[in-house]
Amino acid sequence: MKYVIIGGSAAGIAAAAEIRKQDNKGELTIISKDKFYYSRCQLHMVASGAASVDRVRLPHAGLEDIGIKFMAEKTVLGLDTAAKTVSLDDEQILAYDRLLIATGTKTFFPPLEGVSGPWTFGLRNLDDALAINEARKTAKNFTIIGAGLVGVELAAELVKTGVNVNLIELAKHPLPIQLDQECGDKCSKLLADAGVKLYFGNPAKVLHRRPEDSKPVALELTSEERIDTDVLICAAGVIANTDFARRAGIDARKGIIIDDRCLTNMPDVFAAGDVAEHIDTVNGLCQLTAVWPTAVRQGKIAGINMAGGTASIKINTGMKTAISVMGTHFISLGQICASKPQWCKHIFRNTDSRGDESIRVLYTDGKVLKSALLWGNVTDAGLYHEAIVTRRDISGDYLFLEGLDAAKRGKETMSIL
Amino acid sequence: MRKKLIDKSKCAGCKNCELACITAHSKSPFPFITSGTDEIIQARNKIELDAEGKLFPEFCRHCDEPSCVEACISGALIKGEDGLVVCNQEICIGCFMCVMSCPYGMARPGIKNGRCMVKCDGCHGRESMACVDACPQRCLSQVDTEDELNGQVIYV
Repeated sequence: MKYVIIGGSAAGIAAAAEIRKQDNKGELTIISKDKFYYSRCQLHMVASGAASVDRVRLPHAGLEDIGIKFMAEKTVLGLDTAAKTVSLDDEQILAYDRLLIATGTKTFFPPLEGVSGPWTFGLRNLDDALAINEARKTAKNFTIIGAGLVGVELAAELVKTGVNVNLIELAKHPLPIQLDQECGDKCSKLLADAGVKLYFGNPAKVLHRRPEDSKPVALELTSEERIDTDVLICAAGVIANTDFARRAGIDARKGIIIDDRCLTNMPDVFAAGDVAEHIDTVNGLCQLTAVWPTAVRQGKIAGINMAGGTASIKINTGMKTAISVMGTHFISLGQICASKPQWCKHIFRNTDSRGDESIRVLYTDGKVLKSALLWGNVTDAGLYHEAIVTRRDISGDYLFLEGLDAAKRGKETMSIL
Repeated sequence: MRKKLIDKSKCAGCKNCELACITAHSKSPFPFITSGTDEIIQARNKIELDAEGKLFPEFCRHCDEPSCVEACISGALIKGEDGLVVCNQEICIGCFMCVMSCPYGMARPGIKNGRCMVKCDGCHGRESMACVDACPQRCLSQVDTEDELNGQVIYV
């Protein structure tokens, strides 16, 4: 049996390890455009110089030792599902019996005048992070478009290095998907206090470049305000790498559509990770679930099924985020940004003996926890996550929502639902 | 194979297991007065109240399919050959993806030179489990068995 895995990150490596566990004879090849396996979630640390490349490198889990061939720095150009082959950029052709597409995503560059050219980066691959780190040596003004997870984490890290950081966002507060208005404003304050200049509700219009060497000069916003910019970083979303798969006739919308065994519409072609689209347990919609833990889970399930076993996706969600901004932690679970009017919102505030404030915003529909936002103290996040994805009936469980704080305050029972 | 048996009906809520856990994981002989050092002064277990308001000793299960290991983006959390899920605090960057993912709430945030997660290490490298030794109610007990299946921690 010949297994070929396209993509050597979370899903691809998890699948390879799982295939090897089930089938120790088959020939197993990973084709990766990266040099090695690394942690994509830590790229902002590399971009700011806070972490070395070695620090974010992940162990291949002894891939070579267990007979897995890792083909580094190779790109797949074509897929022939009839002949069961993939063709690479160096004109090699690889035959497969079972194929996994785990190609992940690439940066979306907004259709902005002047955006294409030098000194414009995304932050998706190690090369992007190294390029930003290199740019820090000469550039002073960094402008980031998009205050999502990547944008906020990068802004918070870059500003620590003493450069000027501007953060542009269409919405009214940072992390608009993960935070509500109140916590969003608190997050704005954390960033602003650290020295990040925020431009919210004010989309970018044009990137002005110097005519002689097309180096960026200033970013003009819709309000006609001009921001000095030496380096522009786009963190305004991602596009799934589905090009060769689409050409081969694999069903894809934003991502490749997979069933609960991670199988695509083509026999023996599986997909997993950020490139794949599957029903999200939290809202029941088929969508990209681009978070690391879900990619690993999907990779494992794909690996088991590729090796002839049976496993199916039971819990699948991309709507969970753990972030730390300037030392304040927060975790967002479920659809905070798309809360429904019929949901009941519970807010609990607490200031501990050290003076650290924590806020817990919980949405329930009277029976089931729908989403949760923990600001400050995130200790119980796992319990809320479990309650959301398993749709556990919590209507009689008053302690659960209040946390143990209720017991400490001597309250015996209370009706909050 | 060393396993932990937990009979929750015997728990009296004395929290001796929590104290023993803190002491066992501290380098200092006086773990409660180490303020100012970078040491994590935090128990890896917790006695909680369940939905009916009864005492429930919550311990890391060292799951067969650990959600925390799946979620770990730094490679710090590993399920070893001995079945124990252990965090290498030198590698952990404190992203708290594991905290978000553990369905028992037993992957917990800690502070150490910045941040890192804290969890039960099954007292690997120690002769016996500190929490078991400290339990006066025999709610916790240790069994040595050749059974490789059925998990590391068993609630009865």
